[in-house]
Amino acid sequence: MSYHPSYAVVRGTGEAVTGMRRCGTRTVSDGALALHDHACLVYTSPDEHRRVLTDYLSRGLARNERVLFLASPPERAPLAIEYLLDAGVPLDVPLAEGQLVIGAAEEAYLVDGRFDGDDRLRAYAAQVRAAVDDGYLGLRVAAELSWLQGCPDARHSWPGYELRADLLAARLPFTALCIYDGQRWKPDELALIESVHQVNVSVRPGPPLIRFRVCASPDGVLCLGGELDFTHADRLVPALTTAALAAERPMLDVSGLEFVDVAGMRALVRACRAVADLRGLVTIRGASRAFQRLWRLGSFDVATRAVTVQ
Amino acid sequence: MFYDRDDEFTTVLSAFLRTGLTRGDAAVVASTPANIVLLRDALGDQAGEVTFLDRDDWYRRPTTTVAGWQRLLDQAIAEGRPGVSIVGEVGFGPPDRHVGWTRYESALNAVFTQAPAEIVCPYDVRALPSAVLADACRTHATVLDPQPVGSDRYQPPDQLLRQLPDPALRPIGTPALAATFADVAGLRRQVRTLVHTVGWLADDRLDDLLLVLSEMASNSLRHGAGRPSLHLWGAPGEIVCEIRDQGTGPDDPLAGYRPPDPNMEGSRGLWIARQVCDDFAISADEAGTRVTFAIRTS
Repeated sequence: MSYHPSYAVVRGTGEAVTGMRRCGTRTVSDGALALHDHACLVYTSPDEHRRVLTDYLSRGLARNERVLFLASPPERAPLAIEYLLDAGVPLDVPLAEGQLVIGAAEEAYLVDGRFDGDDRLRAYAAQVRAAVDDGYLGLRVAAELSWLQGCPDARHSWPGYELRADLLAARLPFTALCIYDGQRWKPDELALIESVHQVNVSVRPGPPLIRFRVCASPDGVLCLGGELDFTHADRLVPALTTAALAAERPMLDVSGLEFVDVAGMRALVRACRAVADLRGLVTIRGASRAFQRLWRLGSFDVATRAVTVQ
Repeated sequence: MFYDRDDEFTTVLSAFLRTGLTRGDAAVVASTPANIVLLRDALGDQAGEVTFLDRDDWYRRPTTTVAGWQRLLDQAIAEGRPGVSIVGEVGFGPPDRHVGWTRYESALNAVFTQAPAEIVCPYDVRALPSAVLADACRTHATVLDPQPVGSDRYQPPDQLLRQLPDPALRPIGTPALAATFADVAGLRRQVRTLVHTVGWLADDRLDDLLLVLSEMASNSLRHGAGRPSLHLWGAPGEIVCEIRDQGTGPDDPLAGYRPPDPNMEGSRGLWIARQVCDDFAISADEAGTRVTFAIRTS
């Protein structure tokens, strides 16, 4: 990836990163994101793209984070410079010192035209490390994801990758804004994508596409929230399974789940079984009275001895 | 088994239970308190090996009872027993419950057909209405008289359940909510807001209502035809819902009576609905399918 190691300046001792991560999704209408936030922007106009990105990038610079913009297609890379200059943000020093880095998303995410989530997450972890070593508070990434349109395989496994990125953001001084062109994705794809981000940055009118969310807690547990029903449950199984396997503990937190139906429970059980096969007993914590009642009435307890519900 | 004398009841059934116990079966009796006393006396020391259940507790809702038998069966098998010997004296209750229990008696033939369970259902000829006694010959392939003889009026469960539908609930008055729907999340929100605001149901029963509503509405959206609709009637402590679509309804009349397959296949929606609802009925005709159910705060 195009990452220029021009870190000549040693900053003062970095402030301790103690910000509590809010697990559960919130919607913000600008780029006001903090360390550990993993957000998605589904933009529907160039103005929205400009407004959110300007805010997001300039805040990172002001807070002494390393700021990385990955453009897709690559010729969009100068947009970040243009936005910040138009907003009156001085860029000479940040560019010269390597605080602001502009690159091509295709180069960062694809190696020989193929996407490898493990490689990408390892690279992000290393970049966060490097940013901290260079005296920054952390790494702030804005990544455009139009390149996914040309990679059916990556697109298929993408929600699982996003969830693993969420686990990374929960653990490291990392802020990520995943940028989706709302015109280029189908509503059901966008719904799934929104559900695997902790924060939505969107001014799209109307209610959220789906009221289900999953994101990581600071202790590395996947937390489910909102409503899980048949309309999207089946499509979530692969993402949940991938992410649960990558999580630090074989555990799902369902305390934020307001509703779950039979199809949703079946999807959870499928994911838990797959995890249990590799990692032993899976724990579901924070089960509401309604969750426990469905668990028992539907004989999910009998179906899955490898899962304990608390 | 039809009986009209207490000694007949105890002689036949204590022999049946002893045979089961000798085989190593778990033995369970669900009956009236009076009959339980009679059987305990007749069994003597062996009574301690038998589980006795008061039928007023045991026969509350047909599928809850099915779930109960399934649990006892699973437990017996987990203990390494070859099977279960069951005496189940159904509490038919008031007349409006009779059809529901006759459907249950019929469904048992299909539900436990593969299970290592021997079930005898005693019918007290002195106490039960003729119609119930006549239906018992349609729901049992074998009648003890006291020797086993085949019932020539027996009907396979899928035939009987089609012929004898759930008694339809007939809500009166104007529905509090009448709406077509295209998504279940929106429907749940609408009903949650309404029922919660008016305070018709306790929270745990509201959860149950939303679950059943969601499952039945999902079925209509997935399998039904036309634009499905919901009508909801409310009163303090009681909600009645009717979901209509233009589809033909579930193909399998036993859907909802069979305990869920542990291998996760098949739907559990109807099974759960029948467990949770105080009344539940599916009816289908040329106009489509109607699922009607009632949830009350107990």
